[in-house]
Amino acid sequence: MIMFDNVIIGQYVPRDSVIHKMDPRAKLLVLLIFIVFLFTSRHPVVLAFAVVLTGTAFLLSKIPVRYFIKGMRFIAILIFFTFLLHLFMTREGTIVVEWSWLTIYSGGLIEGSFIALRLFLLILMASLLTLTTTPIDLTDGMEMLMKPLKIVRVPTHELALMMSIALRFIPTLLGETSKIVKAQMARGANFSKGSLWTRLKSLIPILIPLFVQSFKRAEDLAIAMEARGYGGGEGRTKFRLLSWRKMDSLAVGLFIVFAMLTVVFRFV
Amino acid sequence: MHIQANQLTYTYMKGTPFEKNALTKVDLSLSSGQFTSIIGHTGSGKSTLVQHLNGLLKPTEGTITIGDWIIRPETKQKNLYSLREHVGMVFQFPEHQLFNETILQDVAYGPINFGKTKQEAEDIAKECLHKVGIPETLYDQSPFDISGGQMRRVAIAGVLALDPTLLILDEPTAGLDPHGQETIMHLFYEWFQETDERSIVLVTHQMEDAARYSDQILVMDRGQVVDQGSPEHIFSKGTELRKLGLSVPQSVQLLQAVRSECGGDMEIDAFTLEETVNRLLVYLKKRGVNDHV
Repeated sequence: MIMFDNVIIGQYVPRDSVIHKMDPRAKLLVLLIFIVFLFTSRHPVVLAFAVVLTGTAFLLSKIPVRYFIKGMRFIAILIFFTFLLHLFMTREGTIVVEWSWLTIYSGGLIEGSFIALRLFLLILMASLLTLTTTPIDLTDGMEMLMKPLKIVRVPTHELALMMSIALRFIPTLLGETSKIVKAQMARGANFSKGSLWTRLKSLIPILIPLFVQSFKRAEDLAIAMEARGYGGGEGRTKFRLLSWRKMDSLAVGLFIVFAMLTVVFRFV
Repeated sequence: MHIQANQLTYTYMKGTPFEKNALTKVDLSLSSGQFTSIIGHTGSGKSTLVQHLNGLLKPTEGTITIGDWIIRPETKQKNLYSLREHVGMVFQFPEHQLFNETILQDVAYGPINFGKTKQEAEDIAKECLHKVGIPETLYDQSPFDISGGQMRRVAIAGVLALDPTLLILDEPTAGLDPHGQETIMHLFYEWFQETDERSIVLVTHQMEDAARYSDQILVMDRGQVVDQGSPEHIFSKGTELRKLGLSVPQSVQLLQAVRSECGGDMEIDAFTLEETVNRLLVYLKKRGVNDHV
């Protein structure tokens, strides 16, 4: 199906790059720091630093630009709408355009651009994480980072397992959906005709088989896991070990500098 | 319907790092009213090829002509809608497409989509369910409450209800027991013989089915059609087929083994049980071992 060909959320692109080789814990930490502090300051220096960081990370990751842009099309629409919303809603600064009912203030223009840029950087960074990290690495990293929460009885292992299963089945579900869509199209289903209500109703023949299959698969998976003696995280050793290297410390250090910079520019 | 492919090429996920060529410049011509089987190793492009036959996939390059419809890379989806009324398709594990509240409604889904009234559609559905051997008592049950074999038959009835002239079967018997496989294949063959213009394109891993029902067989390998001909022609080339990860029907294997063990002369292109026994009897008679037979 054409519509699923460009989904890059959760997609891993195997490449031989510095970013791919980084420890998933480091990548998660870096992303966390970036997300939290990106919104702390709006000083141009801070934003420029953020752009440089994101740009460098993207170039280092060797992700094909064309592929990335294609996958971002849907998100671009989202960012654009956010921009428009801020453009029309902010009533500060001087009037830039005044045309019948439409008034645009300079404040709106600035505010909208700020939000759009930040959102773009944020999404780029976040998608870099999944584009360069295998789902297994990602969950391993998360589990390790959540470990301190075990003291307050958060079931970290189970959470990580749930996440890895969810990630693992995204491609399976997409494949399944595409197959069912095709089967119903072969029986004359039409998803682009009629009113909104008819179109929504035309999705039923896809959603029901999809749910039925998912429940079946969940049960099969549970049985398969039990049959192989799975009993939760207690006392379980790891087959794959994560290794923290100098590069990882360097990356986290760099982002801590970024974080401090944002704080400095905000309060000084 | 006549099928003609010219330099048909299809690439999955074009323009992404996952780009994969599934069909490479396939030229093909199948005349109407024939039973064609497509055999080939997993990943040889069989399923991709047949999905072009009802416009579910459009060629990345080249064209394919099915009856009056010509599909080019730039053909719009909405122009292919009418094509699907004439080309039915049974996918692998077709029971995954069931969704409606009752079996009858599920089978009537296709005809209603193509503009039949509810009453007409239900009449057609009843007729098709009867054909596939689903008893009337089940018509109002949920399609999820019946056995796997019955589910598959309901799903097949749902495709036959469209009254297509070309029927595409993508491994329709996968996962069934031997008896179930035979019943289903028999059902398709009966449907095929009902009128002259009906054609079937069957994708299969069962060499026996390919040999038994087909007028002609296409052999595919790495996105290309490497051989095309009658079952006798295709299965006389055992060595070539094995090189492609395929085999010859068991009957041919048996006769081949007998011939090479005991020598002598025997035609080995027998595809049914009866034919095979006959060949063996003739062979034994010729060699003078008829005392015990």
